[in-house]
Amino acid sequence: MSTERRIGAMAVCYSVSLLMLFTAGFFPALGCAQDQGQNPLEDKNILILNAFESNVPAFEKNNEGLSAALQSGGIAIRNQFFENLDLRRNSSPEYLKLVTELIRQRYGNREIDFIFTLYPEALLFLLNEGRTIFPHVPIMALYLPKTFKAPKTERHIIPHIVMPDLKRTLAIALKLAPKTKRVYVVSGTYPMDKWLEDRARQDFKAWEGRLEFQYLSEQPLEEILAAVSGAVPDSIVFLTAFGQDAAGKYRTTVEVAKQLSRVSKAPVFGILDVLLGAGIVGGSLISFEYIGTEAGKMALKILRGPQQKENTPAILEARQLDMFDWRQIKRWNLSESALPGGSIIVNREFSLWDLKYYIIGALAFILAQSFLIVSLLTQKRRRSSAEASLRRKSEELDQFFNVSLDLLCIANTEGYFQLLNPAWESALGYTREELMSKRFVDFVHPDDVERTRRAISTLKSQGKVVHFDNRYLGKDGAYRWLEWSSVLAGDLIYAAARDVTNRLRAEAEAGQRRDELAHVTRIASMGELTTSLAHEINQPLTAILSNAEAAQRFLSMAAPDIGEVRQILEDIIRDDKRAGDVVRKVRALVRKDKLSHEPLDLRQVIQEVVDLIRGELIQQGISTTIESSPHMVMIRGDRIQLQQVILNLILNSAAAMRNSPPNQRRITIKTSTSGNGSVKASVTDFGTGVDENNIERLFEPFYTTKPEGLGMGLSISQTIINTHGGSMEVSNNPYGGATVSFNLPSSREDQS
Amino acid sequence: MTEDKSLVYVVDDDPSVRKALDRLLRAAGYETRTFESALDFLDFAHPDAPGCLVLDIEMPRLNGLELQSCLVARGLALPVIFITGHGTVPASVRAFKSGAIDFLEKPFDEKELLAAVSLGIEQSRQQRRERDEKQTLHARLDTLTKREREVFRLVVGGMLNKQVAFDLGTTEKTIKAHRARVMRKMGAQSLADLVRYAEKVGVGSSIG
Repeated sequence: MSTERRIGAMAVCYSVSLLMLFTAGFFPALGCAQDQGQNPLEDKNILILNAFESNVPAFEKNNEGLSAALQSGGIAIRNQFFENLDLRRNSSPEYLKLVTELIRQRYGNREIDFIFTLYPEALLFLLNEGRTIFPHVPIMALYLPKTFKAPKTERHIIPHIVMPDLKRTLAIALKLAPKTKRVYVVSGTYPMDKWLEDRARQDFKAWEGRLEFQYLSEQPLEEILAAVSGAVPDSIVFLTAFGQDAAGKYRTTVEVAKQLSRVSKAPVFGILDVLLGAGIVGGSLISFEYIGTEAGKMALKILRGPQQKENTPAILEARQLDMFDWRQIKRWNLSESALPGGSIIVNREFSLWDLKYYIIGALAFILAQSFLIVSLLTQKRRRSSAEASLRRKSEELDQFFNVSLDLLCIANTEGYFQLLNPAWESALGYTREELMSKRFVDFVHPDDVERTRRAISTLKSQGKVVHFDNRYLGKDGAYRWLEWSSVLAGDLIYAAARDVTNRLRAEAEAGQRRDELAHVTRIASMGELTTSLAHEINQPLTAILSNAEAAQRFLSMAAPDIGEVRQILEDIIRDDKRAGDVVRKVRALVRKDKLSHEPLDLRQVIQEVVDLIRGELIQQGISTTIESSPHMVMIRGDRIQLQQVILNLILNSAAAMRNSPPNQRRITIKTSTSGNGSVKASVTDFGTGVDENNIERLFEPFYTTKPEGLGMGLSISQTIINTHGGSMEVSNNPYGGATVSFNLPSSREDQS
Repeated sequence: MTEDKSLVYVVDDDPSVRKALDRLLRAAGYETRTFESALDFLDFAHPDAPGCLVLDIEMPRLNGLELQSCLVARGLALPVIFITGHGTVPASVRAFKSGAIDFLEKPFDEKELLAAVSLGIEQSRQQRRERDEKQTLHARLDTLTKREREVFRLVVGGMLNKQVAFDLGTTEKTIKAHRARVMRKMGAQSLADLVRYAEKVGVGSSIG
């Protein structure tokens, strides 16, 4: 699919370049027209005076032709001086004086050999205000209307009279649009425009009766455009010239042509070649470029020849050219065959049909050759790029292999390393030769050998990537923990290992530090609990003592009630155990134990904490409610650490209610199981609540709202819950106080 | 010691302690009533007998000190012995200020408890005796006529019969007769008795 498309694109490229080849052949012929050998005109200076501003299209066209003609005669651009007098917009005597002065200054010490004036205004300037400028230089006065009367002068002037053939243009237009009934004649109000309109009125008299003429000049341009945009069917527009409209606004005919063409309902014809491409269909046109070229040629002739009036032509004549814009012909659907013979057609778009034989032939040839070339190229490129990319890839892999911090190896299934990267040497201290000389299991820690063998047999049987870890003996005698990822390909094991000893050590240290911190904070909480603990121990002690004393009294009675004494002794034993329990629980909390991972009923864990701290709560006037799940709430974890969490939460709640009214000092502790395999515990109080803005900070170490607090309680609690695989959150209750809750994964015994 | 039965009330939320104290007090010869909360005790209709209250300070809801305030407010002035698992200075100060007999820290010896209880019972009896005497004297006072009360007031104020007679505009003989009736009605053997009674029922100050 894509190959096809590429070949198609190539074919087009070929055909285009082929066309260029054909056309390029013509250019050298043009180039030969240039003068060769000695150039007598090399030092001649030409001054061109444009009557108006620099960007008048007619002048641009004229000067293009003129300049090219002069250059072809050997007068370089640097010797052609173009001046735009801007006389249409400025005509005050002061201005004319200034311009005169400017030109004098500009060319004062330069010899000017020939002067062109464009439009009568420029000639008049030169003959009046500018008469002192280069008074003896011959002038070619271009674009003089037929009615122009030159002032009396001694100067050598070669005039060019504009003689537009309006009739011919109209005749051609009628041939192209034979049904035409109405002609809108559009002109400006500038003297030249007026003159042309008059010509039109005279010339078109011949058609009156057959055609209806509507002359549009006495209105501002906007109204003219409106009239044309509402042109009746079977009409044409005839644009003469338009330098200024009835409202006094200066225009250029090109600009007007563009606007007319945009709005017109009828084809626009004109008499100026600058309008071609600006929207007119064409006509018998005054070609500014052609006139410029002709003028240039004549000037060259005059300059070359001896400077005598008699030898020089008296007048420049330039005919009109039949020129048409192919796009406009298509736009108005005019018949191309009705054009006069020898017409110049611009903007022609060649259709492929015009070139069909060339194209078919070329395409067939090109197609065949392209296939051949493309397939050869592709084959070659594919081979060389495959080779290059293979080479590159292998180089890249070598680089990676050598710089990798991970241990990379290839081993055979007999258990020997085949290839090791340099990282091995730095990680274990052996040279690679030493490592390759033994079976790799010989380096593995005896406890890990079995696991390693199992991993390798899994690798062989399942053929997928296997992850495992083991310890490798380093040269220094210490074992390093390696984490492996390996795969079997063919008979070889490809494996990457990472030395995670430091990470494991850091994790262990972090865990140890965490445990120590938990321990310290536990002891700190114990400090807060001393009164409560005293209470919990004093209660049974009081009962024991009183019971014992009562027993003594009973026994010293005349008829001792032995039954009562037996009961007393039973109670004493029970109370003693109770006191012992308290002491045991306290010791457990204070003891530094290894973390255990035993199955626990969270309800019981909570109950034990509440038992320990009951006295404290009572003393603070806090009533405690435990709303337990009716079922076992089984989790796995460390009883002591979880009790520490609950203890922290209860103590926090108690502290938050220190200033609450007595009837509001309530703590509710809830446990529940949820369907998604987690259990939840929450401690709710009716205290001050938490600052919503700092709710995240509550879990930060050393963040505390209690004056005597360490700020470790919640932080440690969260760490403990997290290490148990749970999460903790704090929120304010809608009716005051806060609830701190945590989730823990439920253990499987839960279901029983 | 005395003929009327005295009662010791024990209020403690800890069943073990409650039971042990109950036994000890019974073994020492007291009749006891035990309550597991201050509210239960308030609901209890007290028999009209001398007694004292052994009261745990740390109890949920209404604690011992609050109960004592309630009792005072209700006019049920029982001598109170506070017991506590962890006595704090402010709590003990409050207890003594409100008239506690003693403030015992658990665990306490039976001697301490029994001494306090006996003191409390004695105080209770004393209170009851005083209350009874006052009631008798008020009853007797009510039997005096208006003139006899005036004579009573002036006599215990230290006036001679002659001065009283002058004050009241009558004869010394009449005053003598009034005075003899006052002595008899009030049950006084001597002027000294009469003066003491007057103090107890507030004659002297209230009338004068």
